[in-house]
Amino acid sequence: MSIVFSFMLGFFAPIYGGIFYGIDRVLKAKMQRRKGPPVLQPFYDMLKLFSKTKFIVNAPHTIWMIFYFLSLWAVVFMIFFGGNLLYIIFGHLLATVFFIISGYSVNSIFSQLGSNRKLLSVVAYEPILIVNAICIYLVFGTFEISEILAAPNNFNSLVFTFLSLLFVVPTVLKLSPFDASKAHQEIVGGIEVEFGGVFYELVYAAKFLEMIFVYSFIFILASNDYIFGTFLVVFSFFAVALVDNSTARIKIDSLLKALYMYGFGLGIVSIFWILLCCI
Amino acid sequence: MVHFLIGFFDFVLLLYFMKVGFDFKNIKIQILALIQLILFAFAELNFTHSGSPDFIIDELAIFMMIIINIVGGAIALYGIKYMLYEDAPKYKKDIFLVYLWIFLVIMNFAVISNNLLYFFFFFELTTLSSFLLIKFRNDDISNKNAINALLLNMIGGLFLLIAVCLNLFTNHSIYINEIIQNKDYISAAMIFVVFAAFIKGAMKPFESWLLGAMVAPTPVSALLHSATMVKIAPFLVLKFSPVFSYEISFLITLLGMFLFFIFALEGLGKNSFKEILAYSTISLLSLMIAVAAIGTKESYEIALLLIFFHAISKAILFMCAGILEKLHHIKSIDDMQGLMSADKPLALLILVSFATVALPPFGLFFAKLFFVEYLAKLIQTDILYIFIILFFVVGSSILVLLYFKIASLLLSTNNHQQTPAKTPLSFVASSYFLFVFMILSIIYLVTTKSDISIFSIIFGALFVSLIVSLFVFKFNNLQKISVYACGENTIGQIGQFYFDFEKYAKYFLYVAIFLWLVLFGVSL
Amino acid sequence: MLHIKRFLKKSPWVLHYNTGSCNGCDIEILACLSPRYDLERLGVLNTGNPKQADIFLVTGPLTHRCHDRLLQLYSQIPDPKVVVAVGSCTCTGGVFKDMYNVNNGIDSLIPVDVYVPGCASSPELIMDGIVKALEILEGK
Repeated sequence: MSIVFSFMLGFFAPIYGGIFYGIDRVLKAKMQRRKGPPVLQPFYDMLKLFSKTKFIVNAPHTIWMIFYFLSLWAVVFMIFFGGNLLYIIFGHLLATVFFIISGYSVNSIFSQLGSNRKLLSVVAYEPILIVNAICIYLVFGTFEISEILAAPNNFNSLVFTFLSLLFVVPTVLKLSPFDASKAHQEIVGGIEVEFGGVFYELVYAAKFLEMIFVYSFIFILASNDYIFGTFLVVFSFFAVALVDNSTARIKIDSLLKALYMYGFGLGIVSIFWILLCCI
Repeated sequence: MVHFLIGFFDFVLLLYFMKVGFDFKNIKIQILALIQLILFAFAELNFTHSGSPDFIIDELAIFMMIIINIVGGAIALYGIKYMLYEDAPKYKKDIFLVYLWIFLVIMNFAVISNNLLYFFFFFELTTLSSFLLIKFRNDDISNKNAINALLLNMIGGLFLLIAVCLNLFTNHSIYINEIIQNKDYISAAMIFVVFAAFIKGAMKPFESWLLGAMVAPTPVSALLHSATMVKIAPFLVLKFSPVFSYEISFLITLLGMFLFFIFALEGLGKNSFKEILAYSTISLLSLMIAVAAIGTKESYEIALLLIFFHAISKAILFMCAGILEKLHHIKSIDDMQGLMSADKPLALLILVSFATVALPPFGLFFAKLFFVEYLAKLIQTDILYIFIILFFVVGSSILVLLYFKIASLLLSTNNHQQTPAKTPLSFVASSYFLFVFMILSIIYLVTTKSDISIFSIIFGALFVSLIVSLFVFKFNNLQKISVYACGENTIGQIGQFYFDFEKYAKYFLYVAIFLWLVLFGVSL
Repeated sequence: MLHIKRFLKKSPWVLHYNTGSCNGCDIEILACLSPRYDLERLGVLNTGNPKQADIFLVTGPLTHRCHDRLLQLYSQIPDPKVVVAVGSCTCTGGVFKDMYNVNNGIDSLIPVDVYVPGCASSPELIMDGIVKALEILEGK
């Protein structure tokens, strides 16, 4: 039963992930006192993109991107099947590298700039994710998500991990102020620029998967207290949207500095906090 | 009899080093050779046989021999083809190939010697062969770098000899199996062996010899960086790690991990392909030494994984670098632009080899994964390991940046239109062979560790289907469209950025030397 | 199979290009996206990228310099697509009509589906034009 359920959750992730994205857009619109698009807007976009003409720049470019989507999907499956946190992080790294290579394999300056910046932002957030995974291990004694979700709630020890992860969320999702790798007005979406039609839909759906990936990290901090976990996710969802609306983009080198100083710093504080104060 | 022969040849070898010192008018080499001669004479005079055998083939030795012979053998075979493109007289080419094979033989003996004096002999022989190989092209820069390599490695030899003499002086055994059985035997002698290993492993103040080795023909770099020479360093540390005290083990790990991070950073500023590979080698080598020095059962296995898969990946990468140099005349990574369209199989091989160093589901990645898991366990008992974690996670992601920075140039189809060239199969055969060997080893690894199996099957399948689709799907039925350039018809160019950490280099050096000194102080 | 074409009008993504306008109309277009008019409630997204766009919003008379670029951008928008000419200059050339450096309205180069008059057109007019364009888009 639970296997079927996990499978369903994973399989339909690109679908219901769209609802989260729709809610996100409405939330941001409401913050700006706009009405905003309907919640189902991502699905309208999806269906529209299906009906457009299929354009590609070159075959490898498209293939790398398709495998980015597939690997990311596999990672989401691993999350729902309660896999190992480290494998999930590194699987996500692999997927991201596919995407970066996709960006490099066209002759477009925006795409290449986007890839360069994405690579740097990976260098910025990857260590934070690993350090936070180690923090989670220190508290629960396991990397397996299924075991973490069964363990008793111990959020007090993970406060700093939570704060540190708040820096990772906008970087992975490419939201302000850490959206230098996407930079819609500056480099026209970075790696996304050369995709059109149904292929852009894959990139678009990958955003939902990224959302599920990064918020699941926050969800598991609350371990078996699912209501509190949901609260954490909603809180960080709200906080990230607020920050996205109210801050300007920072340059890629400032991003690196900020993530290493605050995100990584908080990760280290978290290890000390867990080892010295909580155990 | 064997002992007499080895002693005799060792004297001859040291006299030869002396002669090299005179030939090149290098007073340092002369002095080093003289000191070594005196110490060696002292050691020979005081040496007495104990019951232990002079050669022991244990598990570690077999493991090293597998690497040396399979990876080294593949490289030596590759050398035959490579030498066809080299501009040198026929007899020199033959001698070069003979050197390569002799080098492998020496390495085989080095890993099975149990007597430190014998080990010293083979250690010096590897120094000699690397000197001769680096000197092969005989121009100014080759000679200079060869002399530098000789000099630095002789310091390593000297350290080893000091260790032997100290052991003899304090009436301790110089048989490795006896040393590592004696748990409470901690002395300054041990630290000299470790220092010798550090120099062979090109740790911070002594990294210039390995970086300089890239002036030699590429099979030499491939051999030095992957299967032979530098692997003595983690091998020695692995051998002696069971008797390290906690402080020494921690300090070596810290130093190694620090250098892992530093070398990765310094590699970011380089633009020669071989130099970048060299930096990634010394970076990973420091990681191996760091892991080996922890000295527990888990770390032992992780270090073996690192050594094994690093040897294969680096051998493939260096062989590719040789092909690039000879066939496409590419040395700098900036010239690599457009290689994907010019020679797709080769470019993909390089790309996949990068993936094997950094990404799942390949061997080196698993080693790193196990290490993170192991570190998470370690830190529970000892908070000091937090420094190790910091350097490790940051260093790993910087290595990813280092590799895929090159990938960008490999893939881009910018202005440099290269003439399409097809690499002859005989040239890449050894690379493919090693690659298949690596895949088989990974499959073996996955079957022995059940918890990584599903993960690696999923991502392995993704990887395979990706490579297949890159060759199969052309999307000919879809409309092709030009890239977006704000409506312009001209296409912009983009280069790759470099991160220069040159100005911090001296601080890195100070920290490294400080750690060496602390290590030395603690051991006393 | 559901009629996915029906969703074309629910998610029109806009590419905005200025062929040499005085920026009056551009400011009005941006005003459309602001909280007061909020075009996004119709699903409109200002993409800035032809490959993901459905509606081509052009402002300004067709200056010679922009000739090739306009064509290039137009050709990079995947079908089905509609072109909305915003402002008098874009429709006919406006005050620049028959001048030495312009080619009058953009319909001399690419097919225009909706003409939005005004110098500068007001946000209400632009929105009206876009809604009109959505109907045309559905028919295509």
